[in-house]
Amino acid sequence: MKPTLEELTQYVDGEVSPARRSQLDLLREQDSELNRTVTALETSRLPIRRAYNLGQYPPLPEALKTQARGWIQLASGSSHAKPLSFWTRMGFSACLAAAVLVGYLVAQPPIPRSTTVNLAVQEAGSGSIVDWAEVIASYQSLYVRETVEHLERTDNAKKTVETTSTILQQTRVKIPDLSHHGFHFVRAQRLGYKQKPLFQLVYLADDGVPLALCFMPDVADPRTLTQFDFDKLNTGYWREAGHRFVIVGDIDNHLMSMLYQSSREQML
Amino acid sequence: MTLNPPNSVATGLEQELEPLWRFTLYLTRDNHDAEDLFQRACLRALEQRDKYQPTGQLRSWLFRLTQNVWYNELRSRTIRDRRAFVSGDLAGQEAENVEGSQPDSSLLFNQVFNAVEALPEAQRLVVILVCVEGFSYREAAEVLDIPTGTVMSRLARARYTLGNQFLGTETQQPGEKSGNTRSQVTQP
Repeated sequence: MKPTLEELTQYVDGEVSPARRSQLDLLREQDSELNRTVTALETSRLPIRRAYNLGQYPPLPEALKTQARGWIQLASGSSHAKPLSFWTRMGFSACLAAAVLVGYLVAQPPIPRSTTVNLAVQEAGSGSIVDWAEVIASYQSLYVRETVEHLERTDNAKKTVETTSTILQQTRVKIPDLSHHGFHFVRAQRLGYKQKPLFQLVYLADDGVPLALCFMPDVADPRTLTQFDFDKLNTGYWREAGHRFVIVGDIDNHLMSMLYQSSREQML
Repeated sequence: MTLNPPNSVATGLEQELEPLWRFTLYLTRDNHDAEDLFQRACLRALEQRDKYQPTGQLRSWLFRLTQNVWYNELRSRTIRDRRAFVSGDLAGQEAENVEGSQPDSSLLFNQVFNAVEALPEAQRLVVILVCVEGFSYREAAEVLDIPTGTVMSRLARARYTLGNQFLGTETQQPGEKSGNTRSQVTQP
């Protein structure tokens, strides 16, 4: 029986029976092509592991390692008690990406339903609105369409509704309907920014990347819409009625203006 | 102390960061894509940590999850054709800088590295998992979600190709056949 390449590999590695080895030894003498194949397999005993361990690939960047350790630390902390279900419900990847990716956002524990939080008094130490908008935009650039679709598939719809309801109770800010602009609401979640609550509303276009509308308390003077580009994403931010807001998405300036108007009209 | 799945993943992941990083580089062969994939794989692992079965190897689970992220999410973007990381110049430079290496051995290692990298994608990953990372055939099969026989077949073909290259002869690819099952790992 003519041996397969797999069997010849076993043969050169000394893993065939003595009887079969004798047969193959004989075949090798009689068949030059077979002998050539065996010789090639014998030659394939190359220092592959050493070749790969000699620095051909760069080491893990320290920044990535630190970032991952931060995520692990959060995950370890959240799995000890109640927060595990919270993370699951809220979409762990989105929370962690937002919380640690750029080193500014800090995940917050869930808000107890019975607690009333006065968001309007938490201005001190929450950073400039420009920095804040850049942080949101940098996070959002990682938040691709597939991520949202994955969350959609894995989320429990009922729990998502409960989460949204909780956020509405805590913030007195309404979730705007942006469907007439082509974006349907997917989910809401509570994140954190410099120890302050940060709320993210995620929308998904039928044929585009996700859109994020984020807000947090800010009692500073009102400010009209300002836009900038971040990693190909249009970012618009403003401040009014005791809150700062930011919209991030792969949209043009005209659509940004319309979303800004719709959000203002419906949220406050 | 026995850790529950979520805690064992969170704890074990920290020990697996370096292997996970290497695997993202193996898959993407691009620094930027690897960074992106590494972040997503870490997040996905932590997000799905309650699904991990502690009876299995955490590394195999992480690698398989990472490969799924790569194929399902990132490859849908226009990153497939970017292969900026692996260049002959970079590989050569790195090899020459290895402290204590003789010029001849550096050249050999560089040639071996480039030969493996030039293998067809499916064969390349099998070679890396088995020969570099030390996975058994069964573990490699789990990571790649293919039968163990296919791992053996791909490895045999890869070895034939590599052997022919280092013999200085022209490679001829026999037809792929399913091998019989072996339980031992063989280091070419």
